[in-house]
Order: sequence, then structure tokens, then C-alpha cells
Amino acid sequence: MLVREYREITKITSTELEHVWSNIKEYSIIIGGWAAHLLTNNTFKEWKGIDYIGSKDIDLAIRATNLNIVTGRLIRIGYTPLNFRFFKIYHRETKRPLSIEESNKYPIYELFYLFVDLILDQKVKKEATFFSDPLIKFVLDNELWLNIGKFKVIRPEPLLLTKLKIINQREQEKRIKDILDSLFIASLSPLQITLYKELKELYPIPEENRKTALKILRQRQIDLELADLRLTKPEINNLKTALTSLI
Amino acid sequence: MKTPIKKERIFRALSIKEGISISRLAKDTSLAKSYVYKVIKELEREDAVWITEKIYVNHDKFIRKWGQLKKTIFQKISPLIIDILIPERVRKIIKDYAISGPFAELLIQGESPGRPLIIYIDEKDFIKVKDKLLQLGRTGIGSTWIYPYDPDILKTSWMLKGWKVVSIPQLAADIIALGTYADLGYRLYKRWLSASKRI
Repeated sequence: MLVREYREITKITSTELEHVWSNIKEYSIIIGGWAAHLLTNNTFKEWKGIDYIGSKDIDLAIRATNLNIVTGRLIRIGYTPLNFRFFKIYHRETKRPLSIEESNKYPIYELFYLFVDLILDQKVKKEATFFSDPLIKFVLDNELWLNIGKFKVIRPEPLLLTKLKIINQREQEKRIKDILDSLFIASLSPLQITLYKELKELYPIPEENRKTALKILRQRQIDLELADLRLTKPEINNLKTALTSLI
Repeated sequence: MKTPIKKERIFRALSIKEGISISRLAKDTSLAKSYVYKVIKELEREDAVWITEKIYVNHDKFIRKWGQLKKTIFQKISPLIIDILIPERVRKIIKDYAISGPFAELLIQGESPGRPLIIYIDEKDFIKVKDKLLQLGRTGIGSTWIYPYDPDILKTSWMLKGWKVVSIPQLAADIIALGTYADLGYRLYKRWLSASKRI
């Protein structure tokens, strides 16, 4: 079950998120799964008495002009670059960070690769491939973020759109997680429907992505994961209705 | 004629769980089996449900019938109407509640202007907090309508953007009953049926 696996890993990534953030906060905003967590967790906890599930990866949006500084700082705090990704290796059970040499002593299933992914506002000419997204540029240009505690987090409206716009390029497990995040962003975050609709007109969701999202919503695994998050069947149906009206 | 508030329990229960027996429905709604049987027969005559060993729902007619019933209820009971500038202030006074009407629709589909905001609260709790509610704004005008109501309506509530909201079928029935945005209520109910894999 995805929810259970994420709960195990999130302890590592939440500590690492704080560490990464303290080093590059002036250059980035949090996007992706951690953004979904930070935007929804207070309400989720009030409702269900448990935390939401965080994320395995740390996704950050940065200006292409700051790429060299951010890359340098990530390397300085122990990350190894791999294209647009930066990784650290952890031992799953002890939650201890391992060097690449140390990690070779363990079987792969005992290891957890924590990735920091950087998404840029515009394309850059580099040997390594970095992804850029015009919606991220719009977010940075228009300061579409919220301050949540010490973190700067993308607003729920562009976050939901980014999740729905990339769903067709994701593998199955990530698709399930994206839909779980989307369900809670739609219902529990401070999403403003008018702003969402305006952004959706500027950055439309491709029809095939819409179909994929609706198809995943009907899969049994989504219901099982939501049940693992203590949601009842009627509550699941209510959440799904709220999301489908935005897709 | 008595206001048929408890009759609504049967609609709420059937919207969530169809394919159940009359005995089970009576148990789920805490209503007498004879009364449940009477209501179900009435719904059957109007093609809103059909009965074999279990009860099945004809959703088109069922939601229309629920909307009509709710219209009758709204006509018979009067809410406490308050002019509140910041509706969130109500949440500091009442903890056990569920919102409905166009305000809730606006949070989900974003298609209505969001007024009025209907708030259901247990009749017993209402007596305790009435004085505090009266201090929130001028009464008799405004678009916050507070109904002391059957607490059964709170059982199926869920969280939406910091508010406790009635179940979506209940919200659809309420919007249909109000009349002005009935089409939004039907659309919402259809979306809910689709999300519940019933169509």
C-alpha cells in the first residue's frame, strides 16, 4: 500500500526538507508532494486526527538564473547531481544517510534514494537536462505562493494544475499519489476556484490527461489508499466529486 | 401536518447505501420499520425506488422527490437569519454543524454566487449558543441562515476548505429545494453519482 510506504519514508524526507530549505530558501518555492502536504495537513489532521503522507521526493521551483547557486549548495550539503535530480542515499531501517561507497554494501531493497528535483522557470543550455515549465514561470513572476510556517509554498491553484498537466508522463505509483494529492488539494487547501479557473484557461489540461485522471479516480486502489487514510466510503465519494468538478 | 424532517433521514440513508433491506434502513435511520415501509411504498409509487428484497434507487426521480420534500421543509421551518460579514466567525461559536446551500456549492463547483449560507446545527446545541449567535450581526436580514435541525444531518458531514459540509447528495437536494440554482444541484448530484461509480 502506497500510504503505508510513504509514512515510513516521510520521516526521512521531512527532516531533509528542513535541511534543504534552510540552505536554499531564498531561491526556491516548494512544489509537488510536499506542497500538497503543507497546504492540506492542518485541516486533514483536524478532520482525521492523523497526518497526511508527505512525499518521497522534494520538488522545488527555482529561477534558471539561480541554478548554479542552488546546485552548488545542494552539492555542499551532500547531494549528488543526476541530470535535473539530486540524490542522497539512506538506509531504510536505520534512517541513516549513506555514502555511495557505503551503500554498495547493502542490498538495494534496504536503501532509499531521496531525490531533490529542480523545476526551472525557463530552459537552460546545460549538459544535464533540466525541466522547465511556463506555469512555474507564471507562479514565480506573479508571486503565487503562500507562507506556511517557515516554508514558501506554491498556491493550491497552480499546484493542482501542475499535477494534472503532468499526470500522463508519470508512472502508475506516482499517478496514484498525484491523484491522492489532488483530491486533498481540491477539498482541504485554501484553493480559490475563480483563480483556478482563470489559470486553467491560460494553461489548459490536455484532454488525454483529464481522461487519465478520471480513470485513476475510478480505480479501486484509490479507494483502498483513502480508506487507509481513515476515510469512509461516502467521504471518498464527496472528495471525488469536488475534484471532478475542477478537472 | 408535522414537518417531515425525520423523513429526510430515509433519503440521506438511501443516497449513501442502496441495495439495503427495509429492516436495515429502519435500523440505520433509527425510525420505526412501519414508518420506513410507508415512506418507501410512497417512493415506489412515484418510481423513485423499486423494491425487491432490497431497495434500489431511480436516481433521477429520487433526487427530484428529495428536492420537493426539502422545499416543503424549508417552507415550514424558519431559520435564524443573521447578517454576518465574515461567515467564518460562526465557526468560533459552533463546533458541531454542517453547512449547505449555495455557499457550499461555491466551495465545490464555484458556479453559484455563494448566497445564502445555510448552517445546520443540532436543536439542543442551538439553545446553548443562540445568544452568542445573535451578537454576530443584525438578525432578520442577511444571507446566513441557521437551522436548528435533526442531528442526523451532521453524521455524513465532511471537511471542505475548513468547513464541515453536508454530504453532497444532501447539498444537491437543498440547492434544488431553494429553486434559483436547481440546475446546479442536479449537476452536482450527477457528478456525485459518477464519482460513486453509480452511472
